[in-house]
Amino acid sequence: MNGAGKSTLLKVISGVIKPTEGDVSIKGSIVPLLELGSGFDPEYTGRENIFLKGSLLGYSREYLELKYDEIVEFSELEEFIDVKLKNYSTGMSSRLAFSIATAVNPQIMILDEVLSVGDAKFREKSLDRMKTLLDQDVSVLFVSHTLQQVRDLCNKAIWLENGRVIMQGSVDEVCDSYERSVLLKEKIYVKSSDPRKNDAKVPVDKDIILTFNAPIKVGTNWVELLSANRTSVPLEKYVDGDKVIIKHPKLQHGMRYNLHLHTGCFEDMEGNKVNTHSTGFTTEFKD
Amino acid sequence: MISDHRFIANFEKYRYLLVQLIKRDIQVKYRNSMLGIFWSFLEPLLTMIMFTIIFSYIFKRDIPNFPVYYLIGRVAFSLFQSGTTGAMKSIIGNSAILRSVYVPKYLFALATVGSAFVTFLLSLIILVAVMIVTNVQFTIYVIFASLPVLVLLLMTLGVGLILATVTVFFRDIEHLYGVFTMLLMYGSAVFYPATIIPAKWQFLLEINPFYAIISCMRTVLMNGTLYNTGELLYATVFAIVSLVIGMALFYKYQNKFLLHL
Repeated sequence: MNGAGKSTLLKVISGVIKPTEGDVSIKGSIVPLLELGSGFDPEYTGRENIFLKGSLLGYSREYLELKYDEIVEFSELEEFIDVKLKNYSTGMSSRLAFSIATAVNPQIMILDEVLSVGDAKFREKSLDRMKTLLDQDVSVLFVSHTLQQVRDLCNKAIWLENGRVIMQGSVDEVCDSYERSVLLKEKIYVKSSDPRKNDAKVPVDKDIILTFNAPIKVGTNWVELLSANRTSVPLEKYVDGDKVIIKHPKLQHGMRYNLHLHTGCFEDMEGNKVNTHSTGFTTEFKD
Repeated sequence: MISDHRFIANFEKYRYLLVQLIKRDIQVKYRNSMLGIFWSFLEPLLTMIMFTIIFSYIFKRDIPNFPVYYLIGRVAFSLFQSGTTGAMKSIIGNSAILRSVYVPKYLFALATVGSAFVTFLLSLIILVAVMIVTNVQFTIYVIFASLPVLVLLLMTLGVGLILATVTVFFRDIEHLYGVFTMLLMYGSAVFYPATIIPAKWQFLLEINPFYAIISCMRTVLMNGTLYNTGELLYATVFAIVSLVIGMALFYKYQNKFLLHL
Protein backbone atom coordinates (compact mmCIF):
# COMPACT_ATOMS: atom_id res chain seq x y z
CA MET A 1 0.00 0.00 0.00
CA ASN A 2 0.93 3.58 -0.28
CA GLY A 3 3.22 4.49 2.60
CA ALA A 4 3.04 1.06 4.12
CA GLY A 5 6.76 1.20 4.73
CA LYS A 6 7.97 -1.44 2.33
CA SER A 7 10.49 0.72 0.51
CA THR A 8 11.72 2.13 3.77
CA LEU A 9 12.10 -1.35 5.18
CA LEU A 10 14.06 -2.50 2.13
CA LYS A 11 16.30 0.55 2.33
CA VAL A 12 16.96 -0.07 5.99
CA ILE A 13 17.79 -3.71 5.30
CA SER A 14 20.07 -2.87 2.41
CA GLY A 15 21.86 -0.24 4.50
CA VAL A 16 20.83 2.76 2.41
CA ILE A 17 19.24 4.40 5.43
CA LYS A 18 19.86 3.88 9.11
CA PRO A 19 16.93 2.87 11.31
CA THR A 20 15.88 5.51 13.79
CA GLU A 21 15.21 2.77 16.30
CA GLY A 22 16.25 -0.82 16.58
CA ASP A 23 18.83 -2.83 14.73
CA VAL A 24 19.15 -4.82 11.57
CA SER A 25 21.17 -7.95 11.69
CA ILE A 26 22.21 -9.45 8.41
CA LYS A 27 23.94 -12.73 7.77
CA GLY A 28 25.41 -12.84 4.31
CA SER A 29 26.05 -10.53 1.40
CA ILE A 30 23.23 -8.46 0.02
CA VAL A 31 22.48 -7.36 -3.50
CA PRO A 32 19.71 -4.79 -3.59
CA LEU A 33 17.78 -4.32 -6.81
CA LEU A 34 15.93 -1.24 -5.72
CA GLU A 35 16.06 1.29 -8.49
CA LEU A 36 17.42 -0.72 -11.35
CA GLY A 37 18.78 2.02 -13.55
CA SER A 38 20.43 4.11 -10.88
CA GLY A 39 24.18 4.28 -11.04
CA PHE A 40 24.25 3.97 -14.80
CA ASP A 41 25.94 6.73 -16.71
CA PRO A 42 24.07 7.55 -19.93
CA GLU A 43 27.28 8.69 -21.60
CA TYR A 44 28.97 5.37 -20.92
CA THR A 45 28.66 2.37 -23.18
CA GLY A 46 26.95 -0.77 -21.97
CA ARG A 47 30.35 -2.33 -21.38
CA GLU A 48 31.61 0.59 -19.27
CA ASN A 49 28.36 0.63 -17.34
CA ILE A 50 28.77 -3.01 -16.38
CA PHE A 51 31.99 -2.06 -14.62
CA LEU A 52 30.60 1.13 -13.11
CA LYS A 53 27.45 -0.48 -11.79
CA GLY A 54 29.35 -3.56 -10.68
CA SER A 55 31.78 -1.43 -8.72
CA LEU A 56 28.84 0.32 -7.04
CA LEU A 57 27.68 -3.07 -5.85
CA GLY A 58 31.12 -3.54 -4.35
CA TYR A 59 32.69 -5.91 -6.86
CA SER A 60 36.31 -5.83 -7.92
CA ARG A 61 37.50 -5.40 -11.46
CA GLU A 62 38.81 -8.97 -11.58
CA TYR A 63 35.47 -10.37 -10.49
CA LEU A 64 33.56 -8.31 -13.03
CA GLU A 65 35.91 -9.32 -15.83
CA LEU A 66 35.26 -12.93 -14.88
CA LYS A 67 31.50 -12.43 -15.00
CA TYR A 68 31.46 -10.07 -17.96
CA ASP A 69 30.55 -12.61 -20.67
CA GLU A 70 27.82 -14.12 -18.56
CA ILE A 71 26.27 -10.70 -17.92
CA VAL A 72 26.29 -9.73 -21.58
CA GLU A 73 24.92 -13.07 -22.66
CA PHE A 74 22.04 -12.99 -20.23
CA SER A 75 21.13 -9.43 -21.15
CA GLU A 76 21.06 -10.38 -24.87
CA LEU A 77 22.78 -7.09 -25.66
CA GLU A 78 25.87 -8.47 -27.43
CA GLU A 79 25.30 -6.27 -30.47
CA PHE A 80 24.76 -3.10 -28.47
CA ILE A 81 27.32 -3.48 -25.74
CA ASP A 82 29.56 -0.76 -27.19
CA VAL A 83 26.69 1.63 -27.75
CA LYS A 84 26.22 4.48 -25.29
CA LEU A 85 23.52 3.83 -22.76
CA LYS A 86 21.64 6.98 -23.68
CA ASN A 87 20.77 5.27 -26.93
CA TYR A 88 19.31 2.23 -25.17
CA SER A 89 15.61 1.77 -24.74
CA THR A 90 14.26 1.58 -21.19
CA GLY A 91 13.79 -2.14 -21.62
CA MET A 92 17.38 -2.61 -22.76
CA SER A 93 18.92 -0.76 -19.85
CA SER A 94 16.66 -2.59 -17.41
CA ARG A 95 17.81 -5.87 -18.91
CA LEU A 96 21.40 -4.85 -18.47
CA ALA A 97 20.81 -3.77 -14.87
CA PHE A 98 19.02 -6.97 -14.02
CA SER A 99 21.76 -9.04 -15.61
CA ILE A 100 24.51 -7.28 -13.65
CA ALA A 101 22.70 -7.57 -10.35
CA THR A 102 21.89 -11.23 -10.73
CA ALA A 103 25.14 -12.35 -12.32
CA VAL A 104 26.82 -12.19 -8.97
CA ASN A 105 26.02 -14.77 -6.37
CA PRO A 106 24.62 -12.96 -3.40
CA GLN A 107 23.28 -14.70 -0.36
CA ILE A 108 20.44 -12.25 0.05
CA MET A 109 18.74 -10.49 -2.79
CA ILE A 110 16.33 -7.61 -2.45
CA LEU A 111 13.82 -7.11 -5.23
CA ASP A 112 11.44 -4.22 -5.37
CA GLU A 113 8.99 -4.98 -8.14
CA VAL A 114 11.74 -5.26 -10.66
CA LEU A 115 10.41 -8.35 -12.35
CA SER A 116 8.40 -6.11 -14.61
CA VAL A 117 11.42 -5.19 -16.74
CA GLY A 118 11.76 -5.74 -20.43
CA ASP A 119 9.45 -7.59 -22.73
CA ALA A 120 7.38 -10.64 -21.88
CA LYS A 121 10.12 -13.00 -22.96
CA PHE A 122 12.72 -11.35 -20.78
CA ARG A 123 10.31 -11.18 -17.86
CA GLU A 124 9.89 -14.89 -18.03
CA LYS A 125 13.62 -15.35 -18.26
CA SER A 126 14.23 -13.14 -15.24
CA LEU A 127 11.58 -14.97 -13.26
CA ASP A 128 13.33 -18.21 -14.18
CA ARG A 129 16.61 -16.83 -12.97
CA MET A 130 15.02 -15.78 -9.69
CA LYS A 131 13.73 -19.29 -9.24
CA THR A 132 17.16 -20.72 -10.04
CA LEU A 133 18.70 -18.42 -7.45
CA LEU A 134 16.12 -19.56 -4.93
CA ASP A 135 17.08 -23.16 -5.62
CA GLN A 136 20.70 -22.25 -4.87
CA ASP A 137 19.90 -21.19 -1.33
CA VAL A 138 19.72 -17.50 -2.06
CA SER A 139 17.26 -15.68 0.14
CA VAL A 140 15.11 -13.36 -1.88
CA LEU A 141 13.27 -10.47 -0.34
CA PHE A 142 10.57 -9.67 -2.80
CA VAL A 143 8.19 -6.74 -2.69
CA SER A 144 5.18 -6.63 -4.94
CA HIS A 145 1.57 -5.70 -5.21
CA THR A 146 1.08 -8.55 -7.60
CA LEU A 147 -0.13 -11.30 -5.37
CA GLN A 148 0.33 -13.93 -8.03
CA GLN A 149 4.05 -13.18 -8.27
CA VAL A 150 4.36 -13.25 -4.51
CA ARG A 151 2.64 -16.61 -4.36
CA ASP A 152 4.82 -17.95 -7.18
CA LEU A 153 8.12 -16.87 -5.78
CA CYS A 154 7.87 -16.81 -2.02
CA ASN A 155 7.19 -19.22 0.76
CA LYS A 156 6.91 -16.69 3.57
CA ALA A 157 5.18 -13.35 3.48
CA ILE A 158 4.86 -10.23 5.59
CA TRP A 159 1.90 -7.94 5.24
CA LEU A 160 2.74 -4.34 6.03
CA GLU A 161 0.42 -1.46 6.57
CA ASN A 162 1.27 2.02 7.84
CA GLY A 163 4.68 0.88 8.90
CA ARG A 164 3.36 -1.98 11.00
CA VAL A 165 3.40 -5.67 10.47
CA ILE A 166 -0.21 -6.77 10.17
CA MET A 167 0.57 -10.37 9.64
CA GLN A 168 3.40 -12.70 8.83
CA GLY A 169 3.53 -16.36 8.09
CA SER A 170 3.20 -18.75 5.21
CA VAL A 171 2.65 -17.06 1.88
CA ASP A 172 -0.80 -18.50 1.18
CA GLU A 173 -2.14 -17.66 4.60
CA VAL A 174 -0.99 -14.07 4.43
CA CYS A 175 -2.01 -13.54 0.82
CA ASP A 176 -5.49 -14.92 1.44
CA SER A 177 -6.09 -12.63 4.37
CA TYR A 178 -4.70 -9.69 2.47
CA GLU A 179 -6.95 -10.35 -0.48
CA ARG A 180 -10.05 -10.37 1.68
CA SER A 181 -9.13 -7.17 3.42
CA VAL A 182 -8.53 -5.46 0.11
CA LEU A 183 -12.02 -6.44 -0.98
CA LEU A 184 -13.35 -4.67 2.05
CA LYS A 185 -11.65 -1.41 1.29
CA GLU A 186 -11.59 -1.16 -2.43
CA LYS A 187 -14.11 0.32 -4.70
CA ILE A 188 -16.10 -1.54 -7.26
CA TYR A 189 -16.87 -0.17 -10.66
CA VAL A 190 -18.77 -1.38 -13.63
CA LYS A 191 -18.17 -0.30 -17.14
CA SER A 192 -20.38 -1.04 -20.04
CA SER A 193 -18.67 -2.54 -23.00
CA ASP A 194 -19.69 -1.97 -26.56
CA PRO A 195 -23.45 -2.67 -26.75
CA ARG A 196 -23.27 -3.60 -30.41
CA LYS A 197 -21.29 -6.65 -29.50
CA ASN A 198 -23.89 -7.67 -27.05
CA ASP A 199 -25.95 -10.65 -27.99
CA ALA A 200 -27.26 -11.87 -24.68
CA LYS A 201 -30.59 -10.84 -23.28
CA VAL A 202 -29.84 -10.55 -19.59
CA PRO A 203 -31.85 -9.36 -16.65
CA VAL A 204 -30.28 -6.64 -14.56
CA ASP A 205 -29.82 -8.58 -11.42
CA LYS A 206 -28.51 -11.89 -12.23
CA ASP A 207 -26.23 -14.20 -10.34
CA ILE A 208 -22.65 -13.82 -11.30
CA ILE A 209 -19.63 -15.75 -10.29
CA LEU A 210 -16.62 -14.03 -8.80
CA THR A 211 -13.33 -15.18 -10.18
CA PHE A 212 -10.17 -13.68 -8.86
CA ASN A 213 -7.01 -12.75 -10.71
CA ALA A 214 -8.68 -12.04 -13.99
CA PRO A 215 -7.73 -8.92 -15.93
CA ILE A 216 -9.35 -5.71 -14.72
CA LYS A 217 -10.10 -2.41 -16.34
CA VAL A 218 -10.89 0.95 -14.91
CA GLY A 219 -14.52 2.00 -15.00
CA THR A 220 -16.59 4.89 -13.79
CA ASN A 221 -19.91 3.72 -12.42
CA TRP A 222 -20.53 2.62 -8.89
CA VAL A 223 -22.42 -0.51 -8.17
CA GLU A 224 -23.85 -2.20 -5.17
CA LEU A 225 -23.19 -5.83 -4.49
CA LEU A 226 -25.67 -8.11 -2.81
CA SER A 227 -25.15 -11.67 -1.80
CA ALA A 228 -27.11 -14.46 -3.42
CA ASN A 229 -29.89 -14.15 -0.83
CA ARG A 230 -30.16 -10.42 -1.56
CA THR A 231 -28.66 -9.19 1.65
CA SER A 232 -25.82 -6.73 1.92
CA VAL A 233 -22.71 -8.56 3.01
CA PRO A 234 -19.37 -6.95 3.87
CA LEU A 235 -17.00 -7.44 0.98
CA GLU A 236 -14.38 -9.29 2.93
CA LYS A 237 -16.86 -12.12 3.51
CA TYR A 238 -16.96 -13.00 -0.14
CA VAL A 239 -14.67 -15.75 -1.29
CA ASP A 240 -13.79 -17.27 -4.59
CA GLY A 241 -16.82 -18.76 -6.27
CA ASP A 242 -19.48 -16.91 -4.29
CA LYS A 243 -22.57 -15.80 -6.13
CA VAL A 244 -23.32 -12.10 -5.96
CA ILE A 245 -25.99 -9.79 -7.34
CA ILE A 246 -25.12 -6.48 -8.86
CA LYS A 247 -27.35 -3.47 -8.44
CA HIS A 248 -26.95 -0.20 -10.21
CA PRO A 249 -29.57 2.31 -11.40
CA LYS A 250 -28.04 2.60 -14.83
CA LEU A 251 -27.78 -1.06 -15.57
CA GLN A 252 -29.97 -1.90 -18.51
CA HIS A 253 -31.42 -5.00 -19.96
CA GLY A 254 -29.67 -6.57 -22.81
CA MET A 255 -26.27 -5.04 -22.19
CA ARG A 256 -23.01 -6.70 -21.49
CA TYR A 257 -21.02 -5.40 -18.53
CA ASN A 258 -17.64 -5.91 -17.07
CA LEU A 259 -17.24 -5.70 -13.36
CA HIS A 260 -13.94 -4.39 -12.08
CA LEU A 261 -12.31 -4.29 -8.76
CA HIS A 262 -10.05 -1.30 -8.81
CA THR A 263 -7.39 -1.22 -6.18
CA GLY A 264 -6.53 2.41 -6.52
CA CYS A 265 -3.27 4.20 -7.01
CA PHE A 266 -0.01 3.46 -5.33
CA GLU A 267 3.24 5.28 -5.49
CA ASP A 268 6.36 3.52 -6.53
CA MET A 269 9.76 4.39 -5.16
CA GLU A 270 10.22 7.39 -7.43
CA GLY A 271 6.85 8.74 -6.39
CA ASN A 272 5.18 7.91 -9.70
CA LYS A 273 1.54 6.95 -9.54
CA VAL A 274 1.03 3.42 -10.69
CA ASN A 275 -2.13 1.47 -11.08
CA THR A 276 -1.97 -1.95 -9.66
CA HIS A 277 -3.98 -4.66 -11.16
CA SER A 278 -3.43 -7.05 -8.37
CA THR A 279 -6.83 -8.03 -7.21
CA GLY A 280 -9.71 -7.98 -9.53
CA PHE A 281 -12.18 -9.86 -11.53
CA THR A 282 -13.94 -9.41 -14.79
CA THR A 283 -17.32 -10.81 -15.32
CA GLU A 284 -20.37 -10.45 -17.40
CA PHE A 285 -24.03 -11.23 -17.19
CA LYS A 286 -24.80 -14.70 -18.23
CA ASP A 287 -28.02 -16.35 -19.21
CA MET B 1 43.57 -5.97 14.36
CA ILE B 2 43.38 -2.73 12.47
CA SER B 3 42.80 -4.56 9.19
CA ASP B 4 39.63 -6.08 10.63
CA HIS B 5 38.09 -2.71 11.22
CA ARG B 6 34.87 -2.07 9.30
CA PHE B 7 36.29 1.06 7.75
CA ILE B 8 39.35 -0.70 6.35
CA ALA B 9 37.33 -3.68 5.12
CA ASN B 10 34.87 -1.36 3.41
CA PHE B 11 37.63 0.60 1.78
CA GLU B 12 39.14 -2.59 0.43
CA LYS B 13 35.79 -3.71 -0.93
CA TYR B 14 35.03 -0.41 -2.64
CA ARG B 15 38.53 0.39 -3.87
CA TYR B 16 37.55 -0.40 -7.44
CA LEU B 17 34.56 1.90 -7.12
CA LEU B 18 36.90 4.74 -6.11
CA VAL B 19 38.95 4.11 -9.26
CA GLN B 20 35.78 4.08 -11.36
CA LEU B 21 34.50 7.30 -9.81
CA ILE B 22 37.78 9.12 -10.33
CA LYS B 23 37.86 7.93 -13.92
CA ARG B 24 34.30 9.04 -14.51
CA ASP B 25 34.91 12.40 -12.90
CA ILE B 26 37.81 13.11 -15.25
CA GLN B 27 35.89 11.83 -18.25
CA VAL B 28 32.91 14.02 -17.42
CA LYS B 29 35.13 17.08 -17.28
CA TYR B 30 36.51 16.60 -20.77
CA ARG B 31 33.53 14.85 -22.30
CA ASN B 32 32.82 15.81 -25.88
CA SER B 33 35.85 18.09 -26.13
CA MET B 34 38.17 17.34 -29.02
CA LEU B 35 41.41 17.63 -27.09
CA GLY B 36 40.04 15.89 -24.00
CA ILE B 37 42.54 15.35 -21.23
CA PHE B 38 45.10 17.55 -22.99
CA TRP B 39 43.22 20.49 -21.60
CA SER B 40 44.85 19.59 -18.27
CA PHE B 41 48.10 20.81 -19.87
CA LEU B 42 46.73 23.40 -22.19
CA GLU B 43 44.60 25.37 -19.80
CA PRO B 44 47.34 26.30 -17.31
CA LEU B 45 49.72 26.88 -20.20
CA LEU B 46 47.36 29.27 -21.94
CA THR B 47 46.51 31.22 -18.80
CA MET B 48 50.22 31.36 -18.00
CA ILE B 49 50.95 32.88 -21.37
CA MET B 50 48.08 35.30 -20.93
CA PHE B 51 49.12 36.42 -17.45
CA THR B 52 52.76 36.61 -18.49
CA ILE B 53 51.91 38.93 -21.34
CA ILE B 54 49.69 41.07 -19.14
CA PHE B 55 51.83 41.19 -16.02
CA SER B 56 55.34 41.06 -17.38
CA TYR B 57 54.90 44.76 -18.11
CA ILE B 58 53.48 45.60 -14.75
CA PHE B 59 55.55 43.39 -12.46
CA LYS B 60 58.61 43.05 -14.60
CA ARG B 61 61.11 43.91 -11.91
CA ASP B 62 59.29 42.28 -9.04
CA ILE B 63 59.07 38.69 -10.18
CA PRO B 64 62.14 37.04 -11.65
CA ASN B 65 60.49 34.12 -13.42
CA PHE B 66 56.87 35.07 -13.72
CA PRO B 67 55.71 32.02 -15.78
CA VAL B 68 56.97 29.58 -13.13
CA TYR B 69 55.85 31.84 -10.29
CA TYR B 70 52.37 31.97 -11.72
CA LEU B 71 52.16 28.29 -12.69
CA ILE B 72 53.00 27.09 -9.17
CA GLY B 73 50.27 29.22 -7.69
CA ARG B 74 47.88 28.33 -10.43
CA VAL B 75 48.22 24.51 -10.30
CA ALA B 76 48.00 24.54 -6.50
CA PHE B 77 44.95 26.77 -6.61
CA SER B 78 43.29 24.57 -9.24
CA LEU B 79 43.79 21.49 -7.08
CA PHE B 80 42.24 23.19 -4.08
CA GLN B 81 39.43 24.84 -5.98
CA SER B 82 38.31 21.93 -8.15
CA GLY B 83 38.81 19.42 -5.33
CA THR B 84 36.77 21.32 -2.76
CA THR B 85 34.10 22.45 -5.22
CA GLY B 86 33.74 18.91 -6.53
CA ALA B 87 33.53 17.44 -3.04
CA MET B 88 30.94 20.06 -2.12
CA LYS B 89 28.67 18.83 -4.90
CA SER B 90 29.55 15.16 -4.63
CA ILE B 91 26.82 14.11 -2.21
CA ILE B 92 24.05 16.13 -3.84
CA GLY B 93 25.12 15.09 -7.31
CA ASN B 94 25.00 11.39 -6.53
CA SER B 95 21.73 11.38 -4.64
CA ALA B 96 20.14 8.88 -7.02
CA ILE B 97 22.83 6.34 -6.27
CA LEU B 98 22.81 7.02 -2.54
CA ARG B 99 19.08 6.42 -2.47
CA SER B 100 19.21 3.02 -4.08
CA VAL B 101 22.30 1.18 -2.95
CA TYR B 102 24.58 1.21 0.07
CA VAL B 103 27.92 2.75 -0.75
CA PRO B 104 30.25 4.44 1.75
CA LYS B 105 29.28 8.04 1.15
CA TYR B 106 32.68 9.60 1.71
CA LEU B 107 33.90 7.79 -1.42
CA PHE B 108 32.16 10.35 -3.61
CA ALA B 109 33.94 13.24 -1.91
CA LEU B 110 37.21 11.35 -1.95
CA ALA B 111 36.82 10.60 -5.65
CA THR B 112 36.40 14.25 -6.65
CA VAL B 113 39.48 15.21 -4.66
CA GLY B 114 41.25 12.26 -6.28
CA SER B 115 40.33 13.38 -9.77
CA ALA B 116 41.45 16.94 -9.01
CA PHE B 117 44.75 15.47 -7.84
CA VAL B 118 45.18 13.46 -11.04
CA THR B 119 44.62 16.64 -13.05
CA PHE B 120 47.12 18.38 -10.78
CA LEU B 121 49.75 15.70 -11.43
CA LEU B 122 49.23 16.07 -15.16
CA SER B 123 49.63 19.82 -14.98
CA LEU B 124 52.92 19.32 -13.14
CA ILE B 125 54.30 18.08 -16.45
CA ILE B 126 53.71 21.54 -17.87
CA LEU B 127 55.29 23.11 -14.79
CA VAL B 128 58.44 21.01 -15.16
CA ALA B 129 58.55 21.75 -18.87
CA VAL B 130 58.30 25.50 -18.27
CA MET B 131 60.92 25.25 -15.52
CA ILE B 132 63.31 23.59 -17.96
CA VAL B 133 62.59 26.09 -20.71
CA THR B 134 63.15 29.04 -18.37
CA ASN B 135 66.44 27.58 -17.07
CA VAL B 136 65.42 27.04 -13.47
CA GLN B 137 68.16 25.29 -11.52
CA PHE B 138 66.87 21.95 -10.24
CA THR B 139 68.25 21.22 -6.79
CA ILE B 140 67.83 18.41 -4.33
CA TYR B 141 65.22 20.55 -2.59
CA VAL B 142 62.75 19.80 -5.38
CA ILE B 143 61.78 16.63 -3.54
CA PHE B 144 60.76 18.74 -0.54
CA ALA B 145 57.99 20.18 -2.68
CA SER B 146 56.11 16.94 -2.05
CA LEU B 147 55.45 17.97 1.57
CA PRO B 148 53.45 21.13 0.86
CA VAL B 149 51.65 19.20 -1.90
CA LEU B 150 50.67 16.54 0.61
CA VAL B 151 49.49 19.21 3.04
CA LEU B 152 47.50 20.83 0.26
CA LEU B 153 45.88 17.50 -0.57
CA LEU B 154 44.87 16.92 3.05
CA MET B 155 43.55 20.45 3.33
CA THR B 156 41.53 20.04 0.13
CA LEU B 157 40.03 16.82 1.44
CA GLY B 158 39.28 18.33 4.85
CA VAL B 159 37.64 21.46 3.51
CA GLY B 160 35.88 19.33 0.88
CA LEU B 161 34.36 17.06 3.51
CA ILE B 162 33.17 20.03 5.55
CA LEU B 163 31.58 21.58 2.46
CA ALA B 164 30.05 18.28 1.32
CA THR B 165 28.32 17.89 4.68
CA VAL B 166 27.18 21.45 5.16
CA THR B 167 25.94 21.89 1.59
CA VAL B 168 23.51 18.97 1.92
CA PHE B 169 21.69 20.98 4.58
CA PHE B 170 22.32 24.49 3.25
CA ARG B 171 22.38 24.55 -0.53
CA ASP B 172 23.17 28.27 -0.52
CA ILE B 173 26.77 27.39 0.29
CA GLU B 174 27.18 26.24 -3.28
CA HIS B 175 26.73 29.77 -4.57
CA LEU B 176 28.61 31.46 -1.78
CA TYR B 177 31.64 29.23 -2.17
CA GLY B 178 32.23 30.38 -5.74
CA VAL B 179 32.67 33.90 -4.40
CA PHE B 180 34.93 32.64 -1.66
CA THR B 181 37.30 30.82 -4.02
CA MET B 182 37.61 33.95 -6.13
CA LEU B 183 38.48 35.89 -2.99
CA LEU B 184 40.99 33.22 -2.07
CA MET B 185 42.69 33.48 -5.45
CA TYR B 186 43.00 37.23 -5.16
CA GLY B 187 44.10 36.97 -1.55
CA SER B 188 46.82 34.39 -2.07
CA ALA B 189 49.19 36.17 -4.44
CA VAL B 190 48.63 33.60 -7.14
CA PHE B 191 49.37 35.97 -10.01
CA TYR B 192 50.97 39.00 -8.38
CA PRO B 193 54.02 39.47 -6.16
CA ALA B 194 53.30 39.30 -2.45
CA THR B 195 55.36 42.46 -1.98
CA ILE B 196 52.71 44.67 -3.57
CA ILE B 197 50.48 44.12 -0.55
CA PRO B 198 50.91 47.11 1.79
CA ALA B 199 52.74 46.33 5.01
CA LYS B 200 49.71 46.84 7.18
CA TRP B 201 47.79 44.20 5.22
CA GLN B 202 50.66 41.70 5.01
CA PHE B 203 49.23 39.81 7.99
CA LEU B 204 46.40 38.69 5.71
CA LEU B 205 48.88 36.69 3.68
CA GLU B 206 50.58 35.43 6.79
CA ILE B 207 47.42 33.95 8.25
CA ASN B 208 46.40 32.46 4.91
CA PRO B 209 47.37 28.77 5.06
CA PHE B 210 46.88 28.38 1.33
CA TYR B 211 49.38 31.16 0.68
CA ALA B 212 51.80 29.42 3.05
CA ILE B 213 51.63 26.32 0.87
CA ILE B 214 52.29 28.02 -2.45
CA SER B 215 54.98 30.12 -0.83
CA CYS B 216 56.74 26.94 0.35
CA MET B 217 56.45 25.41 -3.10
CA ARG B 218 57.87 28.50 -4.75
CA THR B 219 60.79 28.60 -2.36
CA VAL B 220 61.94 25.05 -3.02
CA LEU B 221 61.23 25.06 -6.73
CA MET B 222 62.39 28.52 -7.71
CA ASN B 223 65.01 29.51 -5.15
CA GLY B 224 66.41 26.04 -4.60
CA THR B 225 66.45 26.50 -0.84
CA LEU B 226 64.43 24.97 1.94
CA TYR B 227 61.25 26.75 2.96
CA ASN B 228 60.54 28.25 6.32
CA THR B 229 59.41 25.21 8.30
CA GLY B 230 57.22 27.36 10.52
CA GLU B 231 55.22 28.34 7.47
CA LEU B 232 54.77 24.73 6.45
CA LEU B 233 53.91 23.72 10.01
CA TYR B 234 51.21 26.36 10.15
CA ALA B 235 49.63 25.03 6.95
CA THR B 236 49.97 21.45 8.20
CA VAL B 237 48.17 22.23 11.43
CA PHE B 238 45.42 23.97 9.52
CA ALA B 239 45.10 21.01 7.12
CA ILE B 240 44.93 18.45 9.90
CA VAL B 241 42.41 20.46 11.89
CA SER B 242 40.20 20.88 8.84
CA LEU B 243 40.50 17.20 8.04
CA VAL B 244 39.53 16.19 11.57
CA ILE B 245 36.58 18.59 11.58
CA GLY B 246 35.56 17.44 8.10
CA MET B 247 35.68 13.76 9.02
CA ALA B 248 33.86 14.31 12.30
CA LEU B 249 31.11 16.39 10.69
CA PHE B 250 30.69 14.00 7.81
CA TYR B 251 30.61 10.96 10.04
CA LYS B 252 28.13 12.55 12.39
CA TYR B 253 25.66 13.77 9.78
CA GLN B 254 25.98 11.24 6.95
CA ASN B 255 22.99 9.23 8.17
CA LYS B 256 20.81 12.30 7.80
CA PHE B 257 21.91 13.08 4.24
CA LEU B 258 19.21 11.00 2.64
CA LEU B 259 16.46 12.95 4.36
CA HIS B 260 17.69 16.14 2.70
CA LEU B 261 18.52 14.90 -0.78
